[in-house]
Amino acid sequence: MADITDITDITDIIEQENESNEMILSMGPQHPSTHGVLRVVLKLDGEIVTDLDCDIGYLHRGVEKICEHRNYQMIAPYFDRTDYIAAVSNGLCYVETIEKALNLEIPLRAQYLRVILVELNRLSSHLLWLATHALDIGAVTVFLWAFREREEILKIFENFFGARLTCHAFRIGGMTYDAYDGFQAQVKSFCDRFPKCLEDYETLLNTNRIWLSRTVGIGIISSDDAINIGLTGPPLRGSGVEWDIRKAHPYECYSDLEFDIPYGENGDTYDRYLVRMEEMRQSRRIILQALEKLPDGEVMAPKAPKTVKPPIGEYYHSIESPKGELGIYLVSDGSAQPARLRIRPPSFVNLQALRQMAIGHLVADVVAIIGTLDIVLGEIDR
Amino acid sequence: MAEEDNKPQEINPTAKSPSETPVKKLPRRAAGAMPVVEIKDDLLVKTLQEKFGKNILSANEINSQQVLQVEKIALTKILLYLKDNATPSFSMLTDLTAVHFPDQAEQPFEMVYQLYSIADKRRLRIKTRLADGETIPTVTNIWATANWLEREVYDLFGIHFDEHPDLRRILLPNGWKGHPLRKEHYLEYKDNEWVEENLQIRELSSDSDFIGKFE
Repeated sequence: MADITDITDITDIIEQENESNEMILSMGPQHPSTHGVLRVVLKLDGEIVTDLDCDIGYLHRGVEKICEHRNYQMIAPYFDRTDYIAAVSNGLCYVETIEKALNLEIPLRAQYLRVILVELNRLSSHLLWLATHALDIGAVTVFLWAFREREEILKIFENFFGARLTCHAFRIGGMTYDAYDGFQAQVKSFCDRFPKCLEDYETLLNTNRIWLSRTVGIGIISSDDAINIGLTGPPLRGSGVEWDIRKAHPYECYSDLEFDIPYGENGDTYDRYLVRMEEMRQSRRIILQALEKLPDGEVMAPKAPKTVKPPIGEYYHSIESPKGELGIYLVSDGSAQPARLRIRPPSFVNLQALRQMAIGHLVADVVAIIGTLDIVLGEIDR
Repeated sequence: MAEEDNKPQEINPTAKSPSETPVKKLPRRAAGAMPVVEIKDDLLVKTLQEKFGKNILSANEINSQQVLQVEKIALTKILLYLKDNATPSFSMLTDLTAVHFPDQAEQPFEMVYQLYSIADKRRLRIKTRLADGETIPTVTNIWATANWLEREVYDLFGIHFDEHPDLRRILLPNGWKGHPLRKEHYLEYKDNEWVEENLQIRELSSDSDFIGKFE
């Protein structure tokens, strides 16, 4: 039987099927549970996955190439469209990289507002993950409930930025607008109600027999393997590595805020679910602290330059996005456009672990494992 | 108004070849540089310099981030040492990418490895230079992460990795011409042949009466 990587079109697949008892199944790119246009070519023995290969690139827009031909301010909106579920986090990573390269201090109030908004974004991203992950495994109620809470966060974003999904939240040097009237009260009331919602989701899932049999022991990856394959974010913490960039290399005002890093033990789908649920509680804790400490003052650095020209050199900066480590490697030649802007997308690296995690499991579990990795194809393909 | 609308839209001249001269950048004004300081009192860097001698070309802190420039011949040895024997051990390869500097004619490509040590919370960047068409040994046997990252560099820069287990294009389709992140690649380059062959979309000639670009 030919190697799985040789398959280029459907006729090859059919020819190969006739040669052996093993079956090659092409899943996607139009598939409800591949979370976008991901195509997975599975090699099956009965219903057991013996090998798989991911086919990506359907959403490739050449963002890195486009960035080399845009001025620094014009690049920022592109980052809302790489990981469109976490547009605020992505925007933060970009503006922070440029600020660090320019050596620009941003006002404390802007830092706290940024942290509140980024953590709200983490909540909305994790809620979307929970909704779709549960739906993939067959829990429809959780899907509806999680979207209900996500809607409230999106309303806050809409009031703040005028957009729900592609927020374009921050500017180089701070923020364009200060918080609107009633922002704090709206966030506070959401945070007060949120723990009850989390409890509701957990009553539906934590001891649910179907949920447990679909997640416990599925897609196990050990901590050594996870580090070797470069997993970051909740998938890494689910394998028991207590590592979070917000703690390891604090940016913005995270060093002033108290929170814990949840981590799992077994590295299976259920542990990653628990890690993300606990992360939502911690995010809420961060938001409440930041609201309390929110100082008065400006939100834009007075020294923010009108034409952004970072000095000649290079800079790598990364933040903890909801999916994992989102990094940007900037090479500046001193002009108004970057010489190279490399995006290190967390989903791209995390998806690579799918093969290792899915081999030996059933086809239905592949869906669960794709869900637990929490990938966004806009970010993988760029 | 209506008449104007009916006019055929202006059609771009047929796509230029990928090797066309790059789009002109904005005029460059004299700019400062990020602070570059030579690393002196660092145990790890000292051990590396003693062990690999001339193969470590320079060890600098650029904007307070540690960067080592190394020779390509010793690259895998240095990386293997950093992962297995060094203290701290760099257990994670955060990122692997390439940068193209067309003005440096002899060795226009730079490979960049971002290493990370989870135990010590420390980053280290290793860079090495390549000539056009030169191959570089793979690091997939050191970190499994490198597999897709190297495929991406191959896809977008056309740099070949020796002994890579599965070197195929990853983001662009098979049969695509050119490597888009090279500077000589024209930004608005379209592979019309590929599009016509695979998607059955044909571009109309400039004198056609139809509105719109594609048939």
